[in-house]
Amino acid sequence: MTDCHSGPPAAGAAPSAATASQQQEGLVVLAGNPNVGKSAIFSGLSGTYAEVSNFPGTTVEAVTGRWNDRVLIDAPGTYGLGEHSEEERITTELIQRAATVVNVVDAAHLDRDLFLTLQLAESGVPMVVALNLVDEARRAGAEPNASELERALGVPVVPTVAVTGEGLEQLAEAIGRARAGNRSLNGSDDLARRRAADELYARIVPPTDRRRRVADWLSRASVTLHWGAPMIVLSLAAMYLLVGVGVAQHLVGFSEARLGHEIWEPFARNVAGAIGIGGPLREILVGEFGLLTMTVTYIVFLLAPLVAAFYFALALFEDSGFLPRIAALVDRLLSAVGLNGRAVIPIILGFGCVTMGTITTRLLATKREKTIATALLNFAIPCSAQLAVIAALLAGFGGGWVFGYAAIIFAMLIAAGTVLDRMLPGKSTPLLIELPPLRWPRPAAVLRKTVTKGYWFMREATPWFAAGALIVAVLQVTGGLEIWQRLLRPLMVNWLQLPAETARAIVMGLVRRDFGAAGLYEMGLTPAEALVALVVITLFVPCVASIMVMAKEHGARTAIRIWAGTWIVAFAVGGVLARILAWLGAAS
Amino acid sequence: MGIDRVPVGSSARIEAIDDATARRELTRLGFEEGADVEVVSRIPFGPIVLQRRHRQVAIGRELARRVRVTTP
Repeated sequence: MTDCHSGPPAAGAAPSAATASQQQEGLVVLAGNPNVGKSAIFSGLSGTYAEVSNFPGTTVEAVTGRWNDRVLIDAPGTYGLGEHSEEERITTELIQRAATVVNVVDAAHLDRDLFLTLQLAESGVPMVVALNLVDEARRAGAEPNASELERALGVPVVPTVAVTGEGLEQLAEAIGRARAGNRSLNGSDDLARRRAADELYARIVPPTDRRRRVADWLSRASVTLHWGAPMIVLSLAAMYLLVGVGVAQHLVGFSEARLGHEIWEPFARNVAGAIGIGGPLREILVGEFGLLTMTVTYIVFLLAPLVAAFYFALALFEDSGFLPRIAALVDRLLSAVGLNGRAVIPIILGFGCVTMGTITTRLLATKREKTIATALLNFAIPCSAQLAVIAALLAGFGGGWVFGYAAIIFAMLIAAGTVLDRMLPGKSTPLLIELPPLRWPRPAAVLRKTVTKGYWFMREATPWFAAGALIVAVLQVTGGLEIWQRLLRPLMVNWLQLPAETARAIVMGLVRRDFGAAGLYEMGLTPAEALVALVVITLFVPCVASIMVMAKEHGARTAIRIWAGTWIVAFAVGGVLARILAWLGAAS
Repeated sequence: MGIDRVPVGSSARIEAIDDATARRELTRLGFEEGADVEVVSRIPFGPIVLQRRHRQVAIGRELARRVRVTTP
């Protein structure tokens, strides 16, 4: 309450006299636990217009929209108010600024949600409760008594099913009747508030002994090693078939080669020719790395379908409640490299697109964990575009080479993680994660997530891809690319014992990881040479977009360190591997 | 004793959580000091999964040692 540094100017409106001076006229804030359908309520109220913004000095995002000429903000999901994490601080601050708070709760899991509800009802801010997912509670035979809750809190309570739109009209009407809750202050006594929440829960939710046999069994089995591990393997295999084979190979194969290279790019060149663009400008706009050719093909015909497919798969994992269970099962593995189970999320995403994974490291608790995860992603995790090329190239030589490649990269992942874990000061945080019940994902919710997350990602990443392509195009026009290639040649030939042309692949790899791998495709390498080259290319620098995102998220210094580190590691490992393979070859 | 030593399938009452951050988080999630919980799973060398009503949390093994419980 003492500072108002981040309060935006209240657009020409005087703050209402009755409340704190930092309050923002008409501001409606949606607050609730994570994954209760807040964002579905948000889009239901605000329609399509939404703007994502970062809070000053943080990586926490909130979505701002408009509802009936009032500003509507979707606050970050939290289990309570306070000062303990960035999300909590920001939500608390937003609540202090709000004219009205809409507390979205999960009607099927009200016992957890009531903690925050009570905190809000104690805070004195006018509020309404949206009893969301009420259809699910109904099906379980445990629909909360809304009018009893209304009496207990002294605020309007409206049952809703946000994804179908049920109850949204009533909710909109109830916002006009918002009132301050009548709960007495528990202050900072969490335990007293928790007990009050449990007591309230017992009063408003009928006890039910109806058991959902399959769901209950699954909830328990999925967190045991003997059932959970096969489930993970199966679901990841299904995800690979969908994203890796279906989209990355077939769909992108069609969209990139046909729509991109054969239809769009010639069209762009013809247009450029017709309006008389020539010389270096032509090269920069529509040349090999052109802004209108390569960048457009890459972003529209390759990245967009891939990112959409990944977010779709991730939304299925998330909305089914399976993702946190995977986090629990792999916690032990990840703690070996200084991370905890939560880091599985950026890592899975990283296999789709390292840039996407890097952005998602935000959800890790400490800077130390964010740094480790970012470094691992950018060192040793090949993105799907690269994986596809690598798999195609190595599969031709037989399964042994594929296995050898995977083993080397996996060993590097462990080694890099272990070194970072030792090097970085501090300790990693232990895992503490809620495991939501397993349920069928709702198609509408999955679709909305896919579209909004995909859109945000593309919006964030596109300028960086364009900037990277621009740099390379300029290098090519000015002859800088040639010089690079010549400088690298001794390293490639003498140290890695590869043909001289592979230097070109490495230079291409500076821009985009799979370019490097693709460049090797037509060189007629021996299996041993291909293995060395691919290991080097995988460990080698992340693509330009990833570096830009790293610099934005973790500062330029970390980004440069990781970038430089990949040079050393990639060439050191490649050189040693070349010698081991030569020795093995001579021995046999 | 720590909840890491409670056999899978049996219940225990949380007496004390010797970690301020975890105590706050668990209280918010409904696994507060005084609550009766069931141990649903012990992932080998990994986290312990606790259940209360229909809700579950997973806590890392190290942390589980600091969640002290009594068994009936």
